[in-house]
Amino acid sequence: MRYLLMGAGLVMLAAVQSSILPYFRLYSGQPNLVMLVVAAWAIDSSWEEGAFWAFWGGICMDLLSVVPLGTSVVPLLVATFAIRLAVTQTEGLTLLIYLVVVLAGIIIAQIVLFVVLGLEGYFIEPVPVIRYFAIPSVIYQMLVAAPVYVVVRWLGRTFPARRVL
Amino acid sequence: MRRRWASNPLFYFFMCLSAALLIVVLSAAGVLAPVQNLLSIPLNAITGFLNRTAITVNNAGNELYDVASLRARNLELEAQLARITGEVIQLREVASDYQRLAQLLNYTSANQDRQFITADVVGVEQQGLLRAIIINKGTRDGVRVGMPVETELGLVGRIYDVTANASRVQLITDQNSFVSGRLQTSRAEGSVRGRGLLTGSLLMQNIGVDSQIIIGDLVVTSGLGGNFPPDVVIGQVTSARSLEFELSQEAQVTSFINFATLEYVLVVTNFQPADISIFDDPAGDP
Repeated sequence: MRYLLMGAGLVMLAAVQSSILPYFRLYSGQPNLVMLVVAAWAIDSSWEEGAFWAFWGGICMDLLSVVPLGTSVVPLLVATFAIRLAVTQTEGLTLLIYLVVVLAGIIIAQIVLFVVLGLEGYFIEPVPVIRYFAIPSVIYQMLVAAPVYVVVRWLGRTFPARRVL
Repeated sequence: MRRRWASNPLFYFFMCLSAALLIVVLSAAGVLAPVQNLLSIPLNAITGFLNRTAITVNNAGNELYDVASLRARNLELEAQLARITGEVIQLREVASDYQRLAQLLNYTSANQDRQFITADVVGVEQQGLLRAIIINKGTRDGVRVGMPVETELGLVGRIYDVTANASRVQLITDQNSFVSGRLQTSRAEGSVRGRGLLTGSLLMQNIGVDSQIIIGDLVVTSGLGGNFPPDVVIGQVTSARSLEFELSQEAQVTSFINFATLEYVLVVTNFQPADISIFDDPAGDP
């Protein structure tokens, strides 16, 4: 149930992200809900689960965009790994630590995404992209990061992972 | 040993990353296009549904916003209309004033022998049938008692009280006003008396019984008595009455001036009324 819920949830989030959220843009920025859910899941469960859902979420996002499949998977994987690594190094997760870690993860994901897109041959002008897309997106994501974590955590507790003996 | 490698997060990360990069390369090369197309079908269906819903909601929101903005625009336009209506009224007033002043100017230009000053009517005094107007020119402007007051339509009255910057004008419609008049065609003399009516209705009395009174004939000042200059239009004969047992005739005369709406008048400043009262005084006889 846990995996079915998360898998279907990520599909829906990717669909919402490419259909509804563009109407709620802040300048040109919009929140990456898949990224926030995957990051929250990675914090609340295990790195392996986080990596799996990063993979799945990234594929869903790429299927709904014009970029090659896997383009969004790379930044999601890197960000999830970095977030998980940072959380395991800290003792006790407070809201502030969570927000700082997620902020760092979002920035890393943005940078990696630009690098991957650049390697794929997409020309990106850094200044307008940072000004009109990256910064508003980061602000937007920070605003919704805490509520997303609360929901993901509740789902994680409600549908715990099965123990394999 | 193999288990340890697999449970190592770094190993797992690089495995996933390598797989992702491989997918990117294969996708960029077009190898995964059939798989992508197949997987996209359900996702595109969901996205299409959500997109249509979002567009509907967004359009509804925009319509609500449009209604609000149209309401605001309507208020703005109503305010603008009120302002422009006010301006139009002002401009009409200016045009009307201009027209009246132009007519006065034409009149003064046609009467070069007389000197005029234009005055605004600033007040009306009315007590019963007595009616006078107050104009905004007085002794400082050269106005003196007895000066005739006219418009381009004819005689208005005579100055009877002057202050430094205002004057009272006795109208020819006043019941105490008597003006020596003359019928333009028959040249018959008479005395034009006011009837105290704002309609400009006057009565010409003491017209000789032998004189012919033509309806529609103009009545002008005769200059007799020295109170008014000659040949200023007083009005037009509208009816006449001749009684066999009386020694004179009467004519109903109507001024062309609407005394109820007078705004500008002309004061004839180079006319000095002649004081002939001394000849009426028996004590003055030698």
